[in-house]
Amino acid sequence: MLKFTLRRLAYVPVSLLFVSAVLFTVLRLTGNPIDTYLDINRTDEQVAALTKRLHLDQSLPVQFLIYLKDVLSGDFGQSLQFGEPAIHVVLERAGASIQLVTAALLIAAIIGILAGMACAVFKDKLPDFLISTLAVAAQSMPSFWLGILLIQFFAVQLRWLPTSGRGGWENLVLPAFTLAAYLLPNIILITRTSMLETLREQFVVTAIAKGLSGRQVLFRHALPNALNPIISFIGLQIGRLMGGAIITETIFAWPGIGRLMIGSIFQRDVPVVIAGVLIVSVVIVVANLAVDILLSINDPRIRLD
Amino acid sequence: MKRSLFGKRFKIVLGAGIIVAMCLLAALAPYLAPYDPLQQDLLRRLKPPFFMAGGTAKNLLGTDNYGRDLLSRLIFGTQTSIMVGTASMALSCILGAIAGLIAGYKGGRIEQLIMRFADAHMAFPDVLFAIIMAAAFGGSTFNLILVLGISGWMIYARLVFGLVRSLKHRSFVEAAVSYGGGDRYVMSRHLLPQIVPILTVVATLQVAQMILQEAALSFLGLGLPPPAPTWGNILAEGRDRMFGAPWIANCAGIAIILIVFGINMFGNGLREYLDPQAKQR
Amino acid sequence: MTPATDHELSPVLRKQDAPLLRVENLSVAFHTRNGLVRAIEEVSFEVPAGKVLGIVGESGSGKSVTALSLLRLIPSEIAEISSGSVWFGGRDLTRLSERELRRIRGREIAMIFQEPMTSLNPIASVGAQLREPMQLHLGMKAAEASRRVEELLDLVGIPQPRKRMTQYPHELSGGMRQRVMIAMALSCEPKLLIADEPTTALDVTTQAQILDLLRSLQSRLGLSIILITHDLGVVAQFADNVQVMYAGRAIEQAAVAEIFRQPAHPYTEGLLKIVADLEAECGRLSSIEGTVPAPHELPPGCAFAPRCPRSDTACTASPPPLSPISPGRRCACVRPVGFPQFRASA
Repeated sequence: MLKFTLRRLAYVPVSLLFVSAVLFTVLRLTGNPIDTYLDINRTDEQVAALTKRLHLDQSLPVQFLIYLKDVLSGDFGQSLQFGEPAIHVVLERAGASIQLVTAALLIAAIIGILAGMACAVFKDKLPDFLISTLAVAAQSMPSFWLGILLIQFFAVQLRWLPTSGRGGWENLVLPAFTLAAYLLPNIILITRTSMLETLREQFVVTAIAKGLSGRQVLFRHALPNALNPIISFIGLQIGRLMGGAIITETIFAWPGIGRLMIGSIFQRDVPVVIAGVLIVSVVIVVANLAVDILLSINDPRIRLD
Repeated sequence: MKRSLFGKRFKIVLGAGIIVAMCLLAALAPYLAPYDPLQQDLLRRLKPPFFMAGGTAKNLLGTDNYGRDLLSRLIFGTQTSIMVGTASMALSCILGAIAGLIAGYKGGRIEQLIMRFADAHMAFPDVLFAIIMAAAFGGSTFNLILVLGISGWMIYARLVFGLVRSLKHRSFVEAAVSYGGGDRYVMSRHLLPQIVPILTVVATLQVAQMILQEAALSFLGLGLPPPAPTWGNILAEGRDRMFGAPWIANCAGIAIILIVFGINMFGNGLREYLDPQAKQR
Repeated sequence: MTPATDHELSPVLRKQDAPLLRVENLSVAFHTRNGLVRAIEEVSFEVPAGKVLGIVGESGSGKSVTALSLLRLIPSEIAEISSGSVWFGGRDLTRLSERELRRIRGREIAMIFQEPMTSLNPIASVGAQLREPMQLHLGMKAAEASRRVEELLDLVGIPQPRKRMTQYPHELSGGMRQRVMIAMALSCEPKLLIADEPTTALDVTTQAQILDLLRSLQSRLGLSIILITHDLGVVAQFADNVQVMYAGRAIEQAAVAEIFRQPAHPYTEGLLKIVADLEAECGRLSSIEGTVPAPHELPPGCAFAPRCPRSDTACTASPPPLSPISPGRRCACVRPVGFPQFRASA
């Protein structure tokens, strides 16, 4: 188990190195950093100082190594909007984003798995038809419009929930459900297929022959065995979920990393954008690692290969 | 009963109907749209659609914050959506199919390089990539197609790779190789025809995803800059006016859902037509 | 026929002491696209306490359906019990509620299956799966159940039980897994064990070991067993009584010694010839021409008639009923082998 985790962890630096290289390339493509950091009224002394500080007089590979060293020590430069180190600005907003993504993930997983199980248990009957049809239809739904519809209905019409911003749990409900909608339809359909396959397995008959109730057979024996494709799917979709989080934060004015990055693009605050991208990448890599570990905990056979 | 009503033929016909209607709308936009989509009329700001109180037949779907006719903007928005959706699909399909063909056919180190790169890219969110590109180059139709095209290649690469690898050792391919067929000859003459049907289905469904992505990026302000009449831009404007003028966002939302639904219907119908077993899913 | 001693006489028809299990006219039908199709038809048999009944037949004969139907293990959307009763402990299992039946499954009647590879939950530890029935039926705490699991694994001949408990099914061999299945079946000390082809999927040496284990457990624990198999050799070693099935019907019932001495049904005779040839290791195997007819294309008369060397026009009229041909023996044939005095009233 430990060996497995360690081997998986070895991929982390490789992935981050790759992202850093992409970021560095883009950073240099963005144009002369001097134009980014200094305004029109710059003096020659400022330019000279910045050239030295950013090592622009060195060759490109050397610049990359220096950049890599800075990135590894968390130095992305000063934020132009806030006058603080960019990484601090980003990390301050990280909590809000993690809260939103975690809530959405939980909602999507719990509702999706339960609904998918209902489909499998009532295969070709009314609940299956309703839920499956709804799930297929929901795949055509743009989540950014779904968010706006939810605001119109629950916040403006019914006045049950606040329209935007962050505060108590009632602020979290609408954004979390909007973000959950990214994964929910697929989780339902995957659970349905996987569950139907598992229910045909012989060990399910063994479990019934032991005297377990239908619910015990479903939750103790069938569900854990049907879980692998669902966990793998969630792992593959974490990147999409992060992308969705950026959109959801924009709709609901949720003060997370996504909204910060979008705002920073319009302020041309490149250090913050780059720091944000790297932090999100770290989260994706770590989440994928967590998914791999979760898979191996759920299924002992995975540890072998 | 259920199957005959919602069978593959029904799906293909309904989907194709919606797609053709949307394409006609896009092609004939200058003739169909009642107004210039950019023409402002500040005296007629935020008029509701005709079916709501205060709406008139003059602006069937109402007007936005600058008094622009919403129907005209939606019709012109069809152009951007269809063009960006199709072009970026084509770009990622070409990139991915070539990468997958090479990886599957050559194998070895090239395969490892291409497929591991695809895996890494798979985990990286499109929106993040678009953010980097927008931060670097700003928004334009060309950049949008480039961003979306590049961010979708690995789906095709994986698909084509898997198919090629399973087909490679079939007898007819080995026969072609033994007759002295060159790599490119074997790939284009023998492998590609086997892949085209399933590729068509995936590509069709991909257009819907690309249209959704384009709208999402426009919504975030990373697409064509305002006042360009794209559905995402209309939706973004509608978001700021959703209390006083909810019809702006909702009209754009319905337009998006309609075309995406049409393409999904068509694609799924096509898949069931080509592979009857796929109906189980 | 000499008067049989109590030991030799098949108790199938003996009415004086109530059997542990009595199946009466059990019919099971499958839902198919073409409507209901009978899988087993009017099957009746008894299992006396402490005895082993072997049910023999080719695949498609309905023997596994019979076994699964006793505990109603075939989902109702796939098949239904269309008539008949299964009497066990004074109650008809076909009429119990699902909740009442759950208290019998695993506790009073346990089952082991053909495929030890797939019968165990692949992602739960052996110990957890073995504890489950005891925690469920006997209300044991986990620690107590674990101690009992150790005893059980020892009982079924698995060395190092403590280590095995923490392992997963994929870490065990096929024979080991079948031993685990047996331990699981025996954990709540059931009165009846249904073994559905318990050795078919195993290699020959393991088959013999598992059969030895089952036999020794049966005599030590005084267990009643229904043994489903296609192998008459297994029945000869192990069973007290035997029921031969063909195309969903019981066609012969007898004590094991009787049936090997003189098979009555031509089909049984054919099966025995194959076994004899196998044991003699002669060059050419005899076989029965043709295959078992599918349930939806049964002939109007005796289902075996098209393959039967003795069939004549009397066989094709209607299926011959299972009728007594000698004390403790029943056969469904118009012209049973070796019983020339007997003619079924067909």
